Amino acid sequence: MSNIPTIDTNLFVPRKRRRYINRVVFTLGTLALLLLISPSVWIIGQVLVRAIPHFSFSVITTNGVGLGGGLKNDIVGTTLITAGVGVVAGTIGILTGIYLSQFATGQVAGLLRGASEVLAGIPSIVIGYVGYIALVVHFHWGFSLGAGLITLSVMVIPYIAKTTEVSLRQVPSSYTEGAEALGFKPTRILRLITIKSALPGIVTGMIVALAISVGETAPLLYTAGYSQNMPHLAFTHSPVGYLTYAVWTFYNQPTVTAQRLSYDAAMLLIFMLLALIASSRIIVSRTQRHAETKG
Amino acid sequence: MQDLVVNTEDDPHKGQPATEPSTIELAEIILNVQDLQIGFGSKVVIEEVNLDLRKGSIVSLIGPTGSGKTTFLRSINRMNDKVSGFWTKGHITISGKEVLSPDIDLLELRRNVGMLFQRANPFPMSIRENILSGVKAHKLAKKSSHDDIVRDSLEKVGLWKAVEKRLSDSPFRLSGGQQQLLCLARSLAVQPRVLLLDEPTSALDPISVEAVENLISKLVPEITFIVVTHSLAQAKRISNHTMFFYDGKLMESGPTSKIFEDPEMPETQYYVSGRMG
Ligand SMILES: Nc1ncnc2c1ncn2[C@@H]1O[C@H](COP(=O)(O)OP(=O)(O)OP(=O)(O)O)[C@@H](O)[C@H]1O
Ligand SMILES: [Mg+2]
Repeated sequence: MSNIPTIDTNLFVPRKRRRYINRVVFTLGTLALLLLISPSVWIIGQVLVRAIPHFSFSVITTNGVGLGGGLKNDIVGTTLITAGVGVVAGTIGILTGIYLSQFATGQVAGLLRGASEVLAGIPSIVIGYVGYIALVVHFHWGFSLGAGLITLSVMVIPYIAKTTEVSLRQVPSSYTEGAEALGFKPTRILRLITIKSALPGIVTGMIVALAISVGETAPLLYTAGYSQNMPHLAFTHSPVGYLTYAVWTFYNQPTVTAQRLSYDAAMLLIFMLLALIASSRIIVSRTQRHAETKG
Repeated sequence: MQDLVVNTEDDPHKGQPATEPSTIELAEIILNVQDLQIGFGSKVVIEEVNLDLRKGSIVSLIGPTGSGKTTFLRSINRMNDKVSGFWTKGHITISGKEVLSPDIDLLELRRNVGMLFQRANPFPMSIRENILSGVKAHKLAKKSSHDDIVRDSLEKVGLWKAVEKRLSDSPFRLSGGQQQLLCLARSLAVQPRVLLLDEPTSALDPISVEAVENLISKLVPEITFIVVTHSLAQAKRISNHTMFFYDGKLMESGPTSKIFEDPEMPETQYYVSGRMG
């Protein structure tokens, strides 16, 4: 008798109970989704409702003048700073991630990872202050595009390095083994197989990093300064404006014009973020057409 | 799982290896293994392997799980190099060249000695690019001949008709068996002389299994095959030489018919009769 397999009846949940569990899980899931979506929808809605009725295109075509004028200089400033961070932090962060996931071993790897984690944990205002002392004062760069974007880069490099490392590690070893067995050079495997499959993760990390730099104010106050002039393409000795400054400063002014500019700046920031997210989606779908699971 | 059943009654190829032994005996020796010992750290995983393999043979490696078949196979194209603690003693030579020497050109070795894995592993690129990946890596052909290479390789594995119109599609939309055939075509495109197959059909349905097996027997004598298999029926069907691994030792090695019909060692006898493993 003992040889006859017995069926574990605990595996069978009565149908009524199953339906009940289904409903509870579904409700919880919906609730979580709402909790996640509603703040974003609410914020975007509030900003649009306040910005759109008064919006005029002169806002994006004229520079700021005192508490009025437009935001052209800030738009250009934010774009330059973000692009600069993309290049500087993107290059260093991705290379660090590649190094950590593929080559680093032992103590060096541990040290690098530790340092990166500490850096990620430092409050942005502290990084801004260090940027001020080191770049603005010590190197005599003055308030400038260079000081701003380097400081922001230092802040976001750990994010990019971490996401790059993690997504490179997740590339299935069957891909790399297959390529090795075909006699690919290690650099070729990295370029054609590993990085390509990890791209969705790397791009997502980049977007988060750029979104952070679009949205930061504190470190820029110390390093980029502020100016209502159109930014020159000068790396040092020339303060630049940026949208987050406009949001914050104009909101606290007593005039209606200034407050409207603040909402306009907030709306433009949101558009920039949406554009970033959209472009990342496009990059991912373009490159992952042949992926095992679509990104 | 049909192919896992040992069925001595209606095996049409019984005692008739794919290639006639007489032609193989005349062929040059392509792979020579001498006093091979392999281990990880302080653990010895493989001992006392000796082998002379003539061009055009099909060798099957059989033995219980954990007996060292994969370890041996992956040493022939040095795929174990990166595993920590891996070491070897003895010699493996392919066409007279020492494989285990640190000076060997690994990329060239792996071009000559291809490998097919248990699970099909197409690269995340189009079907066409999969086929060409090795050709491009080794700069084997001009761009103008790429179309022909794609077609030839796919025709060889019998996949051309099925994928002719979807060469730029993702390989992951093919069935499991088709993906494995694609990987085989990818290996063939770089014109290897030896192919190492680690349970290449264990994830396939009987029809795909047959397709792969037929293909193997068609590709000799240009290519020499070493196939790890858990299917004794498969070993009998396709191979003319069988190596029986048991607990890290090459227990017995010889013509497939001898191993299956008149084995010397009791362990072999026990295993091939299907009572172990
Ligand atoms: N990286 C490793 N480190 C230590 N021991 C290992 C390592 N890889 C394999 N081994 C050991 O080597 C022995 C042989 O393993 P191997 O994978 O070659 O067996 P196998 O014959 O291919 O088995 P299977 O039929 O299950 O695939 C096993 O005892 C295994 O535990
Ligand atoms: Mg194995």
